[in-house]
Amino acid sequence: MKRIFGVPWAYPAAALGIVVVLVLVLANGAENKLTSFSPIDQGIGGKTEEESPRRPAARRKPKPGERYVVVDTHANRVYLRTEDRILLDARCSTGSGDTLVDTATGRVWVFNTPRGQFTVDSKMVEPWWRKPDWAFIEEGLPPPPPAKAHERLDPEVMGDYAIGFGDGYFIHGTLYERLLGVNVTHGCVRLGAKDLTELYKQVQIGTSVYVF
Amino acid sequence: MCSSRACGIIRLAGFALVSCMLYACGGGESDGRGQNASGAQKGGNGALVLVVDFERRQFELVQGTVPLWSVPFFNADSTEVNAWVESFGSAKDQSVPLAENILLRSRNLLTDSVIAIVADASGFDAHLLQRRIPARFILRWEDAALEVESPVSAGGPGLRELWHNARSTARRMFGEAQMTLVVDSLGALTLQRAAVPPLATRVRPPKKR
Repeated sequence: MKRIFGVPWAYPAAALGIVVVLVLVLANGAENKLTSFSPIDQGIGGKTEEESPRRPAARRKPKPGERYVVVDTHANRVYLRTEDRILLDARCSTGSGDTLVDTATGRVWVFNTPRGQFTVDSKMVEPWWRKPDWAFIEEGLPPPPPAKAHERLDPEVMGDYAIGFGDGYFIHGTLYERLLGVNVTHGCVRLGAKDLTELYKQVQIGTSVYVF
Repeated sequence: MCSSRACGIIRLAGFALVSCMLYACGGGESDGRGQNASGAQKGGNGALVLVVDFERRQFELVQGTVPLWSVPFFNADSTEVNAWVESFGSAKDQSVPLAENILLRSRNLLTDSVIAIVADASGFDAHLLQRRIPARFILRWEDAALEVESPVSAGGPGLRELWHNARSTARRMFGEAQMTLVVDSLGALTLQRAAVPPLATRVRPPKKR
């Protein structure tokens, strides 16, 4: 072996270190991808009133006087506000933080509401829910095969409207208004019917949504 | 054993390896509030910042420069405020990382019977669904601390609180600036849960008269 700096294994050792580092970083990325699997991965449907083109949501600062939505996951409140005024203050329910593991396949779901800045990318009337795999696994049932996809459809649980804010997460209604104020969801933000109607009327595609 | 340059390369590789192992293992950190509790933010116009605004007498959470949430505080004595702001020590628009957030006294948001029903109905662990309304907690930075209280009845002080009282007294003797502010209970809930170290904090001093 060629001797480098008087030590035959200096470069191979450095190369090995870099390879191990790359493997660890890639492994960590893959793990994060798994645990941040969107709870609403198999979607929501309904009459799409408006939908943005399929491109990354723009991150920008609202202009003075512009309306934006804030979700406080700690106190479970949704605010529609401008920089200096609160236009709507509503009780909501956000993600529980619970983890579900599918023992059969090893898939993992973490039911958190994602934090950060998003934008409204879809608005739907009378949405229906296409139940993802976790909804069945949670109940101890096997997810239906593609041939029985209709078994996934549930037109009742989402309320009158759904406001999408990216990555498959929505602000939508609920059958269980008594649970508003408690962290019980699988990641979406649930609102009461009256507040949801008000919010739906006032937000547009592109309205900023801040979740903290 | 080996030349200094070769040893340097080996040390560098070792350092990179250890750093990345720490990075790789750090992703699973949890404080019992779910993976988002560390305040991880997705993109957006800057990270979450806590502003202690003595001009408008409020705590404020902003993302970048966009105001998200605020709660007014009371009991801020002007002489105390000036000394505290001076000790906090940040220059204009510079932030200081929050070092500690210690919950000393609290009351459950829901009664045990309600949380049991909700946990049963939703299938989630009761402890994940429960929120505690803080009655008293301490936010501490490098050279300054704020004790935040809310009008929530939460029983008498426990051993932990007495120990922290003694610790605060000792720190005051060593020059830590301390002040007590009062906020409403819902505001205390958000503030205590959102203020996760090392949350960047800025102070807006009171207007000079």
